[in-house]
Amino acid sequence: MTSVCLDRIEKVMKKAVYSVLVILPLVLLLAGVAGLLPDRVTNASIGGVPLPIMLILGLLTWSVLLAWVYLRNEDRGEDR
Amino acid sequence: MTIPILIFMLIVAVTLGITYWAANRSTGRSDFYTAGGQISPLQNGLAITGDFVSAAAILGSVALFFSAGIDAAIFYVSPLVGLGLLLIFVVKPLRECGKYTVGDVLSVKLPGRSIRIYMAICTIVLSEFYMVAQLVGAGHLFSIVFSVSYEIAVAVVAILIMIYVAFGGMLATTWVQIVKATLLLLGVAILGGLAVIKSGGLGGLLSAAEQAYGGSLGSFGGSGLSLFAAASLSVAIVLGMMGMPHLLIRFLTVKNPAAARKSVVITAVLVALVLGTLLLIVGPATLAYVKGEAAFQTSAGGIQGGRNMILLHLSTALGGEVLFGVITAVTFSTILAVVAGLTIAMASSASYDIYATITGNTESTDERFELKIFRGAVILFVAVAAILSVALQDQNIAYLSAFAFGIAASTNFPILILALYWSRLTKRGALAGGSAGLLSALLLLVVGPTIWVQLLGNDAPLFPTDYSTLISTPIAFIFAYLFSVSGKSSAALANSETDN
Repeated sequence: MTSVCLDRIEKVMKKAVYSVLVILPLVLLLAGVAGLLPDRVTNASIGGVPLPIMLILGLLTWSVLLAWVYLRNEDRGEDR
Repeated sequence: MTIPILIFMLIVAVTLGITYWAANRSTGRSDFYTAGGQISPLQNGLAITGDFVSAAAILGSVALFFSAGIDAAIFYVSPLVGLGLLLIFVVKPLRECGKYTVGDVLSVKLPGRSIRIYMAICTIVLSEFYMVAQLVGAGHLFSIVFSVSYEIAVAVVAILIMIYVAFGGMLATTWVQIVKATLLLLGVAILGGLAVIKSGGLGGLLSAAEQAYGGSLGSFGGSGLSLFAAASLSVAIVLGMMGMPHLLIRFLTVKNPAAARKSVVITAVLVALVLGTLLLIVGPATLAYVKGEAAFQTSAGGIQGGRNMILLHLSTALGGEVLFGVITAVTFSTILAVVAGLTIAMASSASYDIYATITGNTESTDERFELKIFRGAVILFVAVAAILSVALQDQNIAYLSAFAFGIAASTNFPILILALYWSRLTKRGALAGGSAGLLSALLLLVVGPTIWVQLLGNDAPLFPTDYSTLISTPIAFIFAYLFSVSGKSSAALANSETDN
C-alpha cells in the first residue's frame, strides 16, 4: 500500500517538476513583453545578435531538450 | 506559363497523385479516420509539424515580426511549451483511450451519447474557425499567383481540399502533410541561407534589419499588447494545442503510446528548427529587404497583397521569380495539408461521433453509409469555411487562428484534462464546463475590438482585447467543478446514465 502511494506521489511530483520547467520559457518571455526586463538586457547584443533573440533561441532549445529527457525517462520507466 | 504557376501545378499534381494512391488503400472506417494506425513515429512527427506550422505560423508570425518586432516571439515560444505539456499530460492517456476521435477518449471516462455529441460539436466549431484562417491565407496566395479574384481562389482551394479528404481520408492527408513538412523545412532553410549570404553574414543581416526597424530588434512592446492580452494569447496557444482535435487525432494514427510520445519529440525538434530560423533570420530579413521597398508597397504606403504576403515579397527580393514560386508553392501546400487535417477532424466527428452515435452503436453502424456521411460532411464544412473566409479576408491570419486556439483552450482542453485526471467529473459537469467555456470565449470575442469595432462598426469595444482565454478557461473549469460536485445524487444520476 505504502509503495503504491509513494509511486503515485513520485509520478505526480515528476509531472509537476517537468511542467514548471516547461512553462518557464513562457514566463520569461511574458516578462519581456511586459517590459520587466532591464534595458541593458534588451539593448545588449552578442556578436551582432540581440540578446533577447538569443535568449528566445535558448528557450526553444531548452523546450526540445526537456521533451527529449522526458521521453527517455518515460521509456526507461516503462522498460522497468 | 510562369514559374510560380508551374510549381503550383506540380504541387497540386503530386498531392492529387497521393490522394489517388491513398484512395485505393483506404476502404474502411479505420483507414479513413486514422490511416489504420500504421503511421511511424517519424512520419507522424513530420505530419504533426506540418499540421502545426500552418499558414498562420509562417505568413502570420513573420508579418507580426515585421510590424511588432520581437513581441512576435509569443507565436514562436508558446507552441513548444504546448508540445511539452501535451507530452507530459495528454499523449499517453489519449492514445490508450482513443480509437478514431477525441470523443472516444471522453466516452471511455464518461460513457453516454450526450458527451460524445457535445465534443463533436465543439470540434466542428473550433476547427471551422481555424480553417477560415488557413483559407484566408490560401485565397490571397492563389489570387496573387494566378491573378484571379480572391473569391475564385478560395473556391478552387476548397474544391481541392474536398477531393483530398473525401477520397483519400487520413492516409492521403498524412502523406500530403509529410510532403509539405519536408518542402517547408527545405523552403525555410533556402530562404534563411540566401538572406544570410546576401547580407554578408548574420551580423550584416541583423544590423540592416535594425536600421530598417528604426530601433533595437531586442526591444519588446512593438505589438502594443497589454500583459493581460499577451498572457492570454500565450495561454490560448499553449492550452489550445492540447485541445485542437486535428492535432490530437494524429496521435491515434500510430501504433501505441510510446510511438505517440516519440512523435511529439520529433515534432518539437522540427518545429523549433523552423520557428528558430523564422525568428533569427527570416523575420529580420523581411525588415531588411521588404520594408520601405517601393516594389512591394501600394500607392497608399501599405504592403501589396496585405501584410500576410510579406514572406512572399521577401522571397522575390532574395531569389526573384523562381524563389517566389518555390516559397509560394510551399506555403500553398502547407495550407492545403492543414485544411485537409482539419476537415478530417470535423467530418469524422460528424459521421462517427454524431451520426453513428445517434443511429445506434458506433461499432455496429453500416460503415459504407457512415463514410457517405463523412464525405457529405467534408463538402458541407469546407463550403461553410470558404464562405466565412470571404467575409474575413482582410484579417491577420495569425490573429484568426489565435481565436480558434482560444476556443479550443476554453472548451475541449478543460473537459479533456478533467476527464483524464479528475475521477469526480460528471457528464453534467463536463457539459456545463465546456458550454460555459465556449459561450464565454465566443461572447468575449464578439465584444472585443476586432468584431465589435472593426466588423460591427461600434466606437469602442466592450472587452478591451481579442484574447480572453485567461477568463474563459477558468470559467470552464469552475463550471465543470461546480456542476460535478453539486449534489451527490445528481452526479451519480448523470454518471449512471446508459444512453449509449
